[in-house]
Amino acid sequence: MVKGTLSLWMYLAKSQTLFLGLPIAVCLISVALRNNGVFSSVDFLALIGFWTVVFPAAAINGPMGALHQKELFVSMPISPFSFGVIQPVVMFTCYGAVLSGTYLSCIKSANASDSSMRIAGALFVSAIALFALTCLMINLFKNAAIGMSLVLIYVIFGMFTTGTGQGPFYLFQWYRPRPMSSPDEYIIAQLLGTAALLAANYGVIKYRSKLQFMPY
Amino acid sequence: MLQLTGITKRFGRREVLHEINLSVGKGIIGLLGPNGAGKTTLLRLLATVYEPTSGSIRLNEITWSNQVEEARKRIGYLPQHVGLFPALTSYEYLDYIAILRGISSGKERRERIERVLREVNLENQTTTRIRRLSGGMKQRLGIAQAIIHDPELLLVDEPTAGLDPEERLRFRGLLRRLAEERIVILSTHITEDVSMTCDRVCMMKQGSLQYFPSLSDVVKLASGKVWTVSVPVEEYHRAGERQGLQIIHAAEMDGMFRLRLLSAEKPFPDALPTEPTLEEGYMTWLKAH
Repeated sequence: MVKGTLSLWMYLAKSQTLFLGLPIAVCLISVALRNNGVFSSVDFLALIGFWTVVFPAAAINGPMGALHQKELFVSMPISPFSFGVIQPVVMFTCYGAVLSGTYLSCIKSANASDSSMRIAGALFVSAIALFALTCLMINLFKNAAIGMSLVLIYVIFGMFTTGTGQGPFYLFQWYRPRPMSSPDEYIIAQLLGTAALLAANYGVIKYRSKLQFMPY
Repeated sequence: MLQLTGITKRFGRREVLHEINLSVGKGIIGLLGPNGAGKTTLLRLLATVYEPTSGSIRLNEITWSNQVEEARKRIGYLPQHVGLFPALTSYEYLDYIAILRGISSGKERRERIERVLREVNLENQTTTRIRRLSGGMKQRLGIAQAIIHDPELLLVDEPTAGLDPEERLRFRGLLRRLAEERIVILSTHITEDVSMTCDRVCMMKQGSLQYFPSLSDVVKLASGKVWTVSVPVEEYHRAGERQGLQIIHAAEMDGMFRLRLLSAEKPFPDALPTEPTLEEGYMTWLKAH
């Protein structure tokens, strides 16, 4: 079972190399920008690196979100728990850790402070919430392009409006906190939200034949 | 035994399948109909991609409505667009599908992959990347993924579209072999696929289905309605405009046109009646419905 799952991930890595590697490449660029005075590496990480986690989310849900693959995938006896919960949790833990690690690496060389760890934690939680939201949207609409676009619109809207109407699910709180609030203010709410998104993702995969919003 | 009882499918207000009843056993059955007849929707219902609006589907003791995961284990499906992963090799792709299908033992997966690759004549392409395979090879790989778990029901949606004649023949032979052990439903709008492969046929038009237990039953529909005649060029052009007359085939020979016609009445005084084909039976059925 474990060996089979590992093989599955190996095939995933082989067939979706670009999408899976994009956040890592952006994090490396961020680290490389540490000593650059014009464009801070943390700004680069926030404005470009952060939202690239939608790409690995699209990669792991590719079979359900790709036009020519979803029909076959929907007809297969796949495990909703494995595909809707375990796989996203493993993947977002890795990508969240990479983003947070990159943040810490960037901040240490610049202006380290006691709050750095808390901000890194808030970044981790925001990243996993974003990842889980992308998984849900792709599986709900069974279309990777639509799922990713909706999520990006949500994130960019929040970024430009400091999370107007997004409540505690403002995902840029770690980078641009709302006035009179701390960057890690919404960690608990976002963790709970992530759990709810995963539960919804499980349901969407389990009832994939019933939930049909887009034509094939 | 596959049994469909009162199957109806609606998308919003549009009813795309009306009250379909069907009962079929082992062997290959053609699903023939023009584009938009509802063939793909019916296959998608059988493949559990969609749920029927009403009615029930049953395969032996398994019902689709309350044992969907069990049903999925018993179905092999080759959709029109199978969406293979170009970066993987044939072996890797089948291994990926076998894992998704829940075959956990590595040894069992290897044995099954080797067997299905042999069955579809791709045993020499094990390590070839999918992007390097021809269209026919990709279709055969598509069939390989559909039979890797030994399904009781194999659903194949327009598999010969885009294949060259040699690949088409090979593919039909493969389907016939596979139908010896299971129910195979072959959806197509190409009558030749059915006449060369199937013993039974379901004809579909605008969401309605009619079952014919033998191809000769379809052929008989055009009995006494197919004619051959040789006419000059002017007569040939006029024939094309005549009501109730359909030119099936025309070949020019020594300034005359040899025509094969479908018509309820004798179309020309010197026209001779001839034996109809499946295609002519199908055309007659389409006109009547």
